[in-house]
Amino acid sequence: MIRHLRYFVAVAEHRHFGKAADSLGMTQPPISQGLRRLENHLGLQLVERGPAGATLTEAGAALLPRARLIVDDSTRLLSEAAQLFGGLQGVRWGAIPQLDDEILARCVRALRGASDSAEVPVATVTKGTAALLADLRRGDLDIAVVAHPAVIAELSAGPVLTLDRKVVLPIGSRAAEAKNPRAQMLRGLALACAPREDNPPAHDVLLDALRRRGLDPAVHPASTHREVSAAVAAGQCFGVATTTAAVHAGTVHRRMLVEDVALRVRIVAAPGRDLAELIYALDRELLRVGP
Amino acid sequence: MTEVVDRINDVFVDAGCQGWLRAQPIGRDAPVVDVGGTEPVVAASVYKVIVLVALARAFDAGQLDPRASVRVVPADCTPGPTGLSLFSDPVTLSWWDLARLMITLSDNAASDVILGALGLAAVEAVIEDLGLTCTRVVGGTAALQRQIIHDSGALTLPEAVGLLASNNTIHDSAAFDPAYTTATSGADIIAVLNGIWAGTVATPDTCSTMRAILAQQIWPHRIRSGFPFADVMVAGKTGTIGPIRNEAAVVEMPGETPIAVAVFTRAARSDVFLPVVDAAIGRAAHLAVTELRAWLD
Repeated sequence: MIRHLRYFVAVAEHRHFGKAADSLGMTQPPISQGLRRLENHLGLQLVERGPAGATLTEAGAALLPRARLIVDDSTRLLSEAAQLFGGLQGVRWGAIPQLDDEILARCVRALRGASDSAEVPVATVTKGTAALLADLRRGDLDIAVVAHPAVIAELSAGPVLTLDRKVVLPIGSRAAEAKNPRAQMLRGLALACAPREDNPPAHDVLLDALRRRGLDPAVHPASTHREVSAAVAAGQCFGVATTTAAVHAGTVHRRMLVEDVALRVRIVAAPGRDLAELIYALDRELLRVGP
Repeated sequence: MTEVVDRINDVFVDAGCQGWLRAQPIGRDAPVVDVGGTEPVVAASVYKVIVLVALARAFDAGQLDPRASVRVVPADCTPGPTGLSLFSDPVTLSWWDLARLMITLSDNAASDVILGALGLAAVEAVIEDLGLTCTRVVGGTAALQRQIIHDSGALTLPEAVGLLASNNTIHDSAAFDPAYTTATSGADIIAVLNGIWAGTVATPDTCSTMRAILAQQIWPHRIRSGFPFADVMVAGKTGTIGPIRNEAAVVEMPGETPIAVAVFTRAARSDVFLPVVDAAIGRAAHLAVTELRAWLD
């Protein structure tokens, strides 16, 4: 209810759903759906939605002052609670297993530097995208780097960041030896990658891109680079790895199918909190890894 | 009932989409299977069912003659992937047949010709009269296309569609936000179908023709894919725009109470073709209808 009132006050102040969403660090759809729910709950239309923006109805104008009081009071409650308990108790963040150890460590360093109070602990979890998004919704995480595309729904996510990846091949395989490796040379090898249930849409995008190239590999579950390298070194699989991932014995990393295998991620933050510093720190670090 | 809701949600998760669903028997308020079925959702071409009702009322009121000849010049029409806008030469057909094209193959050109003749106010009158609180029609398909072109920063519709279909960037559009575009809810659209099946939204004869036209819909990939049985009628209307894939239909098993089911989805992927989501709509509809049949038995 308070969250929905906060949306209402923002829309009333900005007279525009998009600007209201920006001011709350969110996207538009959850704002408009939240407001719609508030209206259904109250049985009143608060805002007139037009092509030029949003204007208050008579009922909306009458209720706005009280809504403001409630929203301000709840903000005060949160800030007083934060002062009493020393603000952020540490950063809890999560990343998908496709980010290699080096990227993970760089992100931790960046998050550590981002908090003003010098030594806040940074707790890291590695999980699939769907599990990370569930943690964010439950409030178990502050921020996460997830694969794109994913069903983000009402959470707020940043732009798509692209990280180059190479194809991990068994030493001696055709594509590993070729001067110009092509998709067809991967025939007969299975794809070692995170299981589909980690995030069906991104998994399907990768598989569909390979199918488009005339490959239809069997899938061998391997989430981390450690698991991918082990599967590839065994000789029957190929995998993909970010460019800072270590090249392990029995494997070769080759630059091929660049657009198809690139890792696309988004930074998703827990709702209703000001995490701009953390988002900025992660964003800058991931852009530095970049394509 | 909670078990079927969980299973339906699992179907949407597996397909990589958000999903909203509502199902209830025709002519009854209960039992209902509801997964966000009273929340506003992007209608896409599902709104054409409401245009159909407005047209039927114009026939009943004598404002339009259902058998009158209408001349349509394809070059002047709203473009679309099916129907009259693809034709090379002008055609002449009746209002009922224009409605048939609008419903059976979601012909954008036919819909906008009908909407142009009726006016938006006639559609709003239907929404008001049936008490559809989540439903709003901002304009015809041409208006939706203008929204998409504007928001993607493109110059032409094919260019906009190409930009929006990329999985490499986020291209949002007001046309995908129920607060800004033509919107409805599962409950609202089922109220319309219910009125058509009960013969109350227009005269019984006109309602009967509307039911026949809805049953002629050609698309087999969504709700019909959940009921691939020759003796089962699936009379419905799909809607597709960008990541949005919808269908609302009445499913009728021989000798049983017909069941209305509405499924609305928004995919994480932006691809133009996503058979996994189309099939999920059929699967979710099948789960909901099967649950209701057990209750009605």
